[in-house]
Amino acid sequence: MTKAEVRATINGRERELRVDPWRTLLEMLRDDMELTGTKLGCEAGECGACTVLMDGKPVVSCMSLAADADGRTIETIEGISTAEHLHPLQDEFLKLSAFQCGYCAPGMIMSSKALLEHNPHPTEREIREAIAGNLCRCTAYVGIVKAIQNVAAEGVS
Amino acid sequence: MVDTYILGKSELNIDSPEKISGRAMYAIDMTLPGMLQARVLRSPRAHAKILSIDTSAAKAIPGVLAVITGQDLPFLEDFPGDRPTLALDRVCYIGDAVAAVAAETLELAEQAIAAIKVEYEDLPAVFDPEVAMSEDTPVVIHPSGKGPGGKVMGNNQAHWYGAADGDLEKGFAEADLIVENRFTTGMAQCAPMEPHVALADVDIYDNCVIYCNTQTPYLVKQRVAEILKVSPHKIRVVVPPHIGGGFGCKTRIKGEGIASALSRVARKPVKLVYSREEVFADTTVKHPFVIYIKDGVKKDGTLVARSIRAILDAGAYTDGTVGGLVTRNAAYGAVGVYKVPNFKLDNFRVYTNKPVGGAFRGFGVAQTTWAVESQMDIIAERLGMDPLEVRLKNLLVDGDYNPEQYLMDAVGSRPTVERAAELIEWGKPADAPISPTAKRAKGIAIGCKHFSIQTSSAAIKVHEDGSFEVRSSVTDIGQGSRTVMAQIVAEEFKVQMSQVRVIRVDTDVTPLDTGQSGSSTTVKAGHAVRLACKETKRQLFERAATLLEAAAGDLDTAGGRVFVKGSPDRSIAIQDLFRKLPMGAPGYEYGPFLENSSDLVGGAMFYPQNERGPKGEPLPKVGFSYCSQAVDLEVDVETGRIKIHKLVSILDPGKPMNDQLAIGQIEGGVGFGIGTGILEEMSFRDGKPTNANLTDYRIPTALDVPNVDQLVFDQVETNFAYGPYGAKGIGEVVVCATSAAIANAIRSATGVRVVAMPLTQERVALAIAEYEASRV
Ligand code: FES
Ligand code: FES
Repeated sequence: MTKAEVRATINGRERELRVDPWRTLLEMLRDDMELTGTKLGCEAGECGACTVLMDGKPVVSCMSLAADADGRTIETIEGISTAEHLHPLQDEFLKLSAFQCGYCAPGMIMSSKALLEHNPHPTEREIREAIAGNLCRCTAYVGIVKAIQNVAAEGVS
Repeated sequence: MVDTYILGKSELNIDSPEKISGRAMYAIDMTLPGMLQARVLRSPRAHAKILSIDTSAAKAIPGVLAVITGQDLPFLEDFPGDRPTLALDRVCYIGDAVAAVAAETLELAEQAIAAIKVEYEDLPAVFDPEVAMSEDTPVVIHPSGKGPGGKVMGNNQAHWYGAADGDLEKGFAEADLIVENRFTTGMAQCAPMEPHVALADVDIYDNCVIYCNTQTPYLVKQRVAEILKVSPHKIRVVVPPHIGGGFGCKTRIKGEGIASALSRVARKPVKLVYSREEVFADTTVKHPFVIYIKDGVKKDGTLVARSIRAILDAGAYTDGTVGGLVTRNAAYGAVGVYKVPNFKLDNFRVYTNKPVGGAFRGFGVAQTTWAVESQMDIIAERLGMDPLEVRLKNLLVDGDYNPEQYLMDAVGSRPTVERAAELIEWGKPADAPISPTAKRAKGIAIGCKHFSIQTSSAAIKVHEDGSFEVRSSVTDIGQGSRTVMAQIVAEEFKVQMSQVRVIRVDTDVTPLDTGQSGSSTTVKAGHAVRLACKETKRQLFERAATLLEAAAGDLDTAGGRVFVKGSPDRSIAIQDLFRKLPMGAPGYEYGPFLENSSDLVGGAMFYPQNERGPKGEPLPKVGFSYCSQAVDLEVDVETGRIKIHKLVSILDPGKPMNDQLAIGQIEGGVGFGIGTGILEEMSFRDGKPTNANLTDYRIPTALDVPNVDQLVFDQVETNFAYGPYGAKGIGEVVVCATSAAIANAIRSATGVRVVAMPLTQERVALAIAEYEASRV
């Protein structure tokens, strides 16, 4: 069976992987690379739990083929903070206790990171549009939207 | 609460740091070496006899290590014993589990599923509960048994619950006005973001470890023991500290039995992850209700009689004891708010060939509240009274017996509804609508939900460094119960939160608990942990007493030291109660020991006594919490689209143990209330789900809920003496009032009374169109 070669920069490191051509990016990340911070909620592009950044743009990794990551830069929740430093969005989500079960958090954080990188001062409507693909069942998005607003007001470092 | 140390404050959720970093481990993230993947074959027929199942082709696929059918598993006498783990000789709804496989990869498991051949012979099916319970039902799905008190059940009736007070006929005769209506509610899915997961590992001695995201670990333990026909001591249920939501559908057993049975055949770990479609079809759903309500009122708005007849659509089976409980507990939604001297209620739970109704945030009460709170507005309108006034006039107050003979206590209806009215500026007309085709108005409703007061136990281990470990089998589905338990221990021992660690649920270590449901967690776990602290202190003080030359009763503790009350300088550090062996003694480098014991663990159990009615009749112990909501919205008369300008939600939490977590529950409740109130409804064609996915079944997105400044949350405290530190259970009451408040506002705005919930755009548009047509 021919495997697909995937050369990608994943969380800042060059990686070479061989995957089944039908394997999704989500499966490659979670199962092959054990990057389980990226979550699985539907495997049908409906919930956003599996959102990662591909070349800075949010994608639902359950609907992308692993092979499509070839030559790209992939960022997951594990790649945006270090042991000492959280991303400002993570800091703010933490401060506001924006999440409850937290299952939507990784995807939500990646979507909001992409938003602020390309639109540093979004309106509330723009924030809501940017995270509309990330379902959260536990909250009414209050803390989530506020956290993004606060980080936008302070400017992303 | 006086002088609390940590309780009542907004302590940060102890699990948040892990959750925002992506480090938090959920059941879905777990793997074991050599693990197999499982898949379940599900029925494509709504009701059919199974003529044959041929698994030989599936078994022949290399890499497929276990294939099981109902014939391989004992039938469980789970009350009332109507549901096998895998179908035996027939299937009763589309999605019913028929066979299961475990294979080296998911692809192989799917191939194996496709290779299983099942021959069915269709049986008549019924989908409407009112048809199912009638003489004309095309089929009786399960033979009816007897209800409480030996009541003979009618066609397809699984459960009945009745309550009565006073003299109904007399009440109606005294009334100046009779108001009768029929309300309905739709089927909804809890839709937690993490699907159901079970990873089971059965060794050659039949010892079984199950990692899963259940809300009821001890129930899983019992049921799996029955399915495997082994003693429960062989079953160990481990729940990772993080669960991606539950809301009811992760109570009782779901995939755990199947995964364990497969693992026993393969003697390898087997992981079963439900697909989103399976979460819709095969985990339990919110019972749809048909509610007939008839009220008698005096001209001045006083309620004199009320009769309610509710029909609950059970779906194809009974989810163990849950079916009966929902039937019973739905009644609480009709009795917690208003004084009704003459009262009668009958709830029937009726089988149909649809997914199984079970625990769902609100537990039947959300449905009854929808009817009652819509009805209160209709009464007000018929009498030309203000809806708030009619409500206030009829409220139960502390010291009243409610229609089910509960002595009411810590009643929060008035303070919550008055505060909601104040914040929505009730009485002041709504502003003009923003859209030219819309109409705008306000609506209000009172939510009241009982919280079960159940049994739980907990243990506290004191470590040799003077820190504390909490052992409880209460799972945290996101509401923050782990944080609250840590706060209680920090409070009792007057230590920092960092000195307290709550371990994950593991039935080999954490003690018995009756599961995370019915908003029961705060009260039962709160009490269990509090009592465990008391017992731990007793042991600590006994050990310290000799060393401090004081009576144990004169001791207290704070900051990691035990001291003599009144003379804090006579004290000892908790860690000094452990004995360090002298340097060089055998084993000295292994850490301190505890004299005459292995561990310093204080355990306790909380067991609530039944309540008694005025004539001494036993009643299940419950409390009532309140959450009133008011809304200012506009509705587009052409499209039926609802736009909420402001939603006020006021909770009575008793005395909250953690403000931020309580506000989180209000927020989540509003999201849930809006979802189930206006967006979400599972739909079917001939029993086949037509929207079993998260695109067509619409839970609220960030665009479907009001803006942050349009949501106003607040709390009004009541004095609930029975609660731990005065706290009430609050997780469900927050979802109960939303839909009625919205429907009431729609009526005020447009003149249209929508009696079917959810108030979807199509339904509202249609109702407005019909109403307009009827006026020309
Ligand atoms: S898992 Fe990818 S969108 Fe849901
Ligand atoms: S916090 Fe549970 S899904 Fe968002």
